[in-house]
Amino acid sequence: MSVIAERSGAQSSGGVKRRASLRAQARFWDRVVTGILWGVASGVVLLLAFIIIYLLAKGLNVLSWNFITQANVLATYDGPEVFNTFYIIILALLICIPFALCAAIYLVEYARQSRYTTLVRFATETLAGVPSIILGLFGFLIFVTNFGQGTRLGYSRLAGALTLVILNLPVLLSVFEDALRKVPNELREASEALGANKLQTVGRVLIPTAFPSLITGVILTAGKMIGETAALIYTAGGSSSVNGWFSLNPLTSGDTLTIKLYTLQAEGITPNAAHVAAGTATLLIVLLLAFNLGLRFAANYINKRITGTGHTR
Amino acid sequence: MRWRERTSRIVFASCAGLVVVIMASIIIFVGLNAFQTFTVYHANPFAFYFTSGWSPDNGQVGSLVLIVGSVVATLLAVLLGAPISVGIALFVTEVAPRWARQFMQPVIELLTGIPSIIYGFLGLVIVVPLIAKAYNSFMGGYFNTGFGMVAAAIVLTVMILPTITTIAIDTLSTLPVGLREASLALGATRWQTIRRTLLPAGSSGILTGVVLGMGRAIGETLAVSYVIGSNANSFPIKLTSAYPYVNFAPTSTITVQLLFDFAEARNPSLNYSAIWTLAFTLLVISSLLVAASRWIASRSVYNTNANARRTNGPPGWWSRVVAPQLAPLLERIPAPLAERLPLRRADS
Repeated sequence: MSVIAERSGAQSSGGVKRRASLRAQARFWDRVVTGILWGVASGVVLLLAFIIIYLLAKGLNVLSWNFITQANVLATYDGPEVFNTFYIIILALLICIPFALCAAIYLVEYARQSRYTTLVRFATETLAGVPSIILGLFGFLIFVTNFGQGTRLGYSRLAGALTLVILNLPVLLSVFEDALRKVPNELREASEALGANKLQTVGRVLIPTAFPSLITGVILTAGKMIGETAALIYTAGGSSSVNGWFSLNPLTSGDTLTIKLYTLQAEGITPNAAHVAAGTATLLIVLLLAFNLGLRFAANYINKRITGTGHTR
Repeated sequence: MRWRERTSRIVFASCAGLVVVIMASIIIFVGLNAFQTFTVYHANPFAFYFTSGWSPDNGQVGSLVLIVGSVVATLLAVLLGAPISVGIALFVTEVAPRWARQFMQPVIELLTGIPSIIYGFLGLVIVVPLIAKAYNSFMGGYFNTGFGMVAAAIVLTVMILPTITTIAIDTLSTLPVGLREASLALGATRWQTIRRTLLPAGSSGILTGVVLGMGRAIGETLAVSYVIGSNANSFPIKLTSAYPYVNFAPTSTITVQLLFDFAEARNPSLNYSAIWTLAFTLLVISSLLVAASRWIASRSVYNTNANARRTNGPPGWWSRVVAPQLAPLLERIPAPLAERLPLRRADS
């Protein structure tokens, strides 16, 4: 713009021509950049489409009912891994949600800006930035072994879940905090005007009101947990036993779908490993697609039920 | 009733404190193990960080290749990924019609949700063979496997796209509408508005996203481990000619070596301690990146970043603890450069 503004002072007819040509130039570049931006965006859409279609094409023929529910000695079936994936996620969420919710309630409802809250925020942000491989090693140190000596929990689903708790606590905390902060202040004031104390306000007004956002946050976090690998390799263990995998004992070791995909590539002792890996990758992507679509559907549904509007996030 | 109020308050407060306890114990325990390399095994810290030659089994711990590998992979990924991400963000906020915008949102969310191991798997079966084929047909001469820094950079680029894009969209869409309208009212085209108004105004928010993307790239493990070939003794870039160039050969990064070496390390050994030292180094680097992103966000003129919005202004710990320490350093930045950096603080 400034170029045109400077040049517009020119008085000759050449100046007028110049201005017109500058404007044409500007229009030209505008069109070029618009084209480039459309190109970039469609490139990304094509990339995603390619990833999904490629995985489906490569592994859909491997998927079968046996593949996702059974186990065998050669580890060509994924039954234990599917079970363990959900087992570890549910266990981790059961441990993580109460802590994250209480911490969020404290930060939003109880705490004033103080040295303590700034410390909590600082720790949350830093923890959110710690690479998951480091948390995996930390989980090995604290949960699997007794500070590197002997065993505490051993390689187990519980140790894996606890590591996932550490990984996702800051995420869940900030999602919950956002959800509680979005509750309008009038509701708090009305509740307190009716004589409710803080705890009653939290339990009967805030959490029910924020419930749709809280659930959305939980499902989003669960979706992230499905894909987690680095934090689990050295905590949950690298394989599942063929007979004992279908148990609820949290102290048995068990690999998830992602760990299986990793061990198939890294160790390669399974016959036709590439075949199984393709099936496992496809299964993962199908699960994630289902989770994502389910999330949208659930968020819509819960919102409709609770608020009476069809508003999505 | 009174005691119930008080106990619940204490319970809530201690849950919040749990995060602090976890973070502190990560630093303490990783750090304690890390320093054994220097205290128990008497490795030379200077040699650890500034020499190459990684073979902890034989008592050789020079991690320069790994550190250079991590840094180069991150920088290449950001160089490739940041322009594309900003392009997508500009498309979504400025160019796209309604239907395209609604279409792009789930696309970006799905890209975020794809696990790193899937990216690694795809890199292994698609990117690596492609690079090998391209290299062998163009350069000829000798056989190249395709594993190495180039494949890692490509995979990382795709992985950090959603991170930067999401934050850039957040930033651009919360810029005051008046900026856009004023520029268009002056007769500027859309591209002129973007280049002269929106990008400068949103620069600190976008930069925050870029730094967070770097944090994600440097901590990424699985995807990189699939495609980099994990040779801890071969530099990813060569400086021998007049200009540096990327080496098309297997190399390694900090995270990949953590992943592969930890399985073989037995507890009291130099190998084991050296891995913890690497982990601690990575922890420090990623914490610095988080701090940098907070710093940039806190200096945003329009306070548009999602994080900044949550706390409504620069966070307390920042302005009280860190900013006073940095102020004298900032004054040393030469004026023209300082003016170009998006450092001016919002008037509060």
